[in-house]
Amino acid sequence: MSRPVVEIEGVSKRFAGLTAVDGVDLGVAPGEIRGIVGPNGAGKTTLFNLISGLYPVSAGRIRLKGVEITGQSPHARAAAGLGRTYQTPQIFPELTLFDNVAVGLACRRPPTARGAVFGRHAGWRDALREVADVLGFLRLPTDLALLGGALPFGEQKRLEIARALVSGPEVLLLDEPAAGLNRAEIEALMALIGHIRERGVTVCLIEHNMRVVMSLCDRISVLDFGRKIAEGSPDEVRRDPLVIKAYLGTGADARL
Amino acid sequence: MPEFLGQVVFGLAIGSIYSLIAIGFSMIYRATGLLHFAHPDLMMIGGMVGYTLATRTLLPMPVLFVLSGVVVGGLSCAIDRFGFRPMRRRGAHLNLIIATIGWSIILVNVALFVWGTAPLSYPQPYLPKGTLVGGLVIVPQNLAMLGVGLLAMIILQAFFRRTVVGQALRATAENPVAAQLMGIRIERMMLLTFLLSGFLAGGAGVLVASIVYANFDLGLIGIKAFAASVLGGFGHVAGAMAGGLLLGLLETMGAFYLSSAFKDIIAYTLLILILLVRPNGLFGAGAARPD
Amino acid sequence: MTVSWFARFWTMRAAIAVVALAVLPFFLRDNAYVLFQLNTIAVFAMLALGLQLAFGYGGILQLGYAGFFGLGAYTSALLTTRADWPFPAAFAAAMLVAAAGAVVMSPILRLRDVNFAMAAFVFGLILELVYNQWSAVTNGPIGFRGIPPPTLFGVSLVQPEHLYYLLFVALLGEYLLIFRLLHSPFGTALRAMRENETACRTSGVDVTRIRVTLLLVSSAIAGAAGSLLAGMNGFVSPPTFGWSTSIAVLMMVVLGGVRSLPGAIVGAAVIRIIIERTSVLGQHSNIVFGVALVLCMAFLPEGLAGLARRIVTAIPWPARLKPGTVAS
Repeated sequence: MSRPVVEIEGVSKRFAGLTAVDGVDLGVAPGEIRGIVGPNGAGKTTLFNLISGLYPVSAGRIRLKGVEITGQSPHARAAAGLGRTYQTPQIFPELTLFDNVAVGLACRRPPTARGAVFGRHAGWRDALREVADVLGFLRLPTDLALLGGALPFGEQKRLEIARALVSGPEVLLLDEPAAGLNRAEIEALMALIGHIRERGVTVCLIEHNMRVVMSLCDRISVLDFGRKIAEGSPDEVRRDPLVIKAYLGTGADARL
Repeated sequence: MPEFLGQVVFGLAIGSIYSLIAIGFSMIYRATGLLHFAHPDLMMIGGMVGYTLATRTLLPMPVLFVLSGVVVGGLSCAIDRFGFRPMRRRGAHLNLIIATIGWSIILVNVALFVWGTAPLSYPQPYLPKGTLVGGLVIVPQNLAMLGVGLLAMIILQAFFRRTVVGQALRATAENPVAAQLMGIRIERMMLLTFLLSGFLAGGAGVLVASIVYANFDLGLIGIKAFAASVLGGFGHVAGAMAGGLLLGLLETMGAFYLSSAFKDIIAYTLLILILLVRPNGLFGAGAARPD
Repeated sequence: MTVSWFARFWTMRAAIAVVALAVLPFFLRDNAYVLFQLNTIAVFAMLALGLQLAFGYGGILQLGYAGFFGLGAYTSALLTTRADWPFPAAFAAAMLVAAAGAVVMSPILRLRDVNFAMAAFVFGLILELVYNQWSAVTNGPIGFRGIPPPTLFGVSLVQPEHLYYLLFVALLGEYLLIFRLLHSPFGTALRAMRENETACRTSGVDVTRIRVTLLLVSSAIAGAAGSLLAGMNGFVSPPTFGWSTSIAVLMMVVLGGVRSLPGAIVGAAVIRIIIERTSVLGQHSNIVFGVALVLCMAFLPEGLAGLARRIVTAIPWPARLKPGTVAS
């Protein structure tokens, strides 16, 4: 097996008395679609925050493409090929669609003052083609001057993905991409994630919608109370008694 | 050894002046999120009002303290009610802070107008009969300031943590919208904050002015008080007290052991260094809270 | 989308303003006093623009700004008097020293909001104290006299009109620089940071570095303004570089309208005029300033620029003349 593209080794995160993530080990193979599931409060988003560098780890190590990124700043990790979206779309409502997506170019083309003053090129303006391409790929409006805040919720989520994709990441962390979407949008999302994987991107997604998780993911890691309690193919996980207990307690109706 | 002790006591004495202002300042920030740049000038007004009362009536010091406190508390409320509240409605936060600078200028000029430019000394009966401690003169007012400061700190801490009103105040500061939805009358809460801090400032003014003199530029001490509240952790009442005392000590020690000319620079530099190590002040919350 | 920033600068309004300001001295030939006032306004307009960049666009509440003004002024003063440096070199050195001061201050950027503002304030206090107390170098509270006027290409600029043009060029250069920065990826990053810093971080924007850059650039600008002030007046003293000036410049930015470059200039002019007028009126005149400040803050939350914008959009223009909406 080739080296995992994301390696999480014994990672823990403690917040003044609360252990949100407790000694999690995880390895994601290149090109895989990995689902991260678990009941609410299991530490999934915290794990994403640790991977993307928004929180420092209390213990453990994180590696991206074999290189250790523990302790690196979020922007350095983005430059190393890590993209991410959030539970609620974190877009820039007052910026245009173009700018919203162009910000994602910051990891490849840092917006420096020196570049602004001495650069002969128009900086991100050169990327008109790339931005338009990504917007098209995500079936977003082509009017680049539209404001981000004018988009409906579902499109805002896609806008966020567009921003993450434009930098050409190798790993994409999606936090509940299906939340708030209707049936048709979810179908489109699943197709989209498949296309993203075809482009060579490894995808990790936190998701509560079990249909999405089961049909899309190659492997699933299950968290509960900050610990990984199960990992394997969708079938393996579906039958794991620990997983069933964590989600449903005992004797409840399983809609997995 | 007595010299060192004397310096300590003196430093604490100076520090207690800063503390009293810093406590009010921090309290206002904690409860309303406002940086009240006119707060030290309220203290100044307290000192001036105290002067007038002292010369006219010769009432005992504690009574002066309370009376001045009431006057300034009322003034503080009035400024909030007519000056700040309309602006809060519009949500212009930074403008509010700058407006307090305007109020500061207004208060200073009112004091100039009413009491003139010359520094005014409190009448003889109020003037300190100091005791010599380690070569420096310590006066009753210093002890009173320390005492008042400690008392205020203890009461306010208990107030903020234990009483319903106190918690309502804190809720208001952290999330005014949610607080309102919970039925908290935030405007009333804020008015109360300004009343309390104004009272404290007014009384502190009497104590300070009786030691030094009553003059329109007494509020300049406020700069040190700001520094003190930052040192202690912004919004933290006990921290403000500690910050004030610490600043007084740093200043006095710096003057005595290093250089009297550069004592302020030393104190401020140490302040910044401390902040870099403890970004939220000495008593402020430690690491960043999770989103 | 492919219009260059330079082309974008030259709107009708900008052209009119630049031309008008360029020819103004001809009408004021005999009025040295007014020219002198304008020159002072120009210096403060430079400061206001610099703070507008750092604070208005970058959210950095630099309450110690005047300290850097002083760094530039004293550096330039010392180099031109005691070391006989030519003005252009002293001017450059002034900016460098001010930028160096910003580097020293930059660790403070780690602090959040209020704490940063207060730490910046204290930093400014420290600088003011240094100017006051390091008498050996700065001559202390009395101030530093005998600073030679700026000399360019051997010509000594003593006349107010000549100084006016020097300041005009400096101000225009600064404006163009800031305009350029704002209409570049750097500017887009600034706007994005204001809206959602976390999203910026994970998208690859080095937020810390951008803030340090803002601090450096605005400090260098303040240093430049200081150098010009020193040469223009021939004299500098510590109170000019203290917290009341820092607050005054902040007021200029807020009054003019946060995130409005022309607003900062207008704000500088208005505040300077008020200060001049009220200091002349006498002792209690200051209260007018205080009242004016309170009223302005209460009724003009978006500053003069916001007011102007509202007036302009309220007027029923014929379709052809309607001011365009902001495009990216």
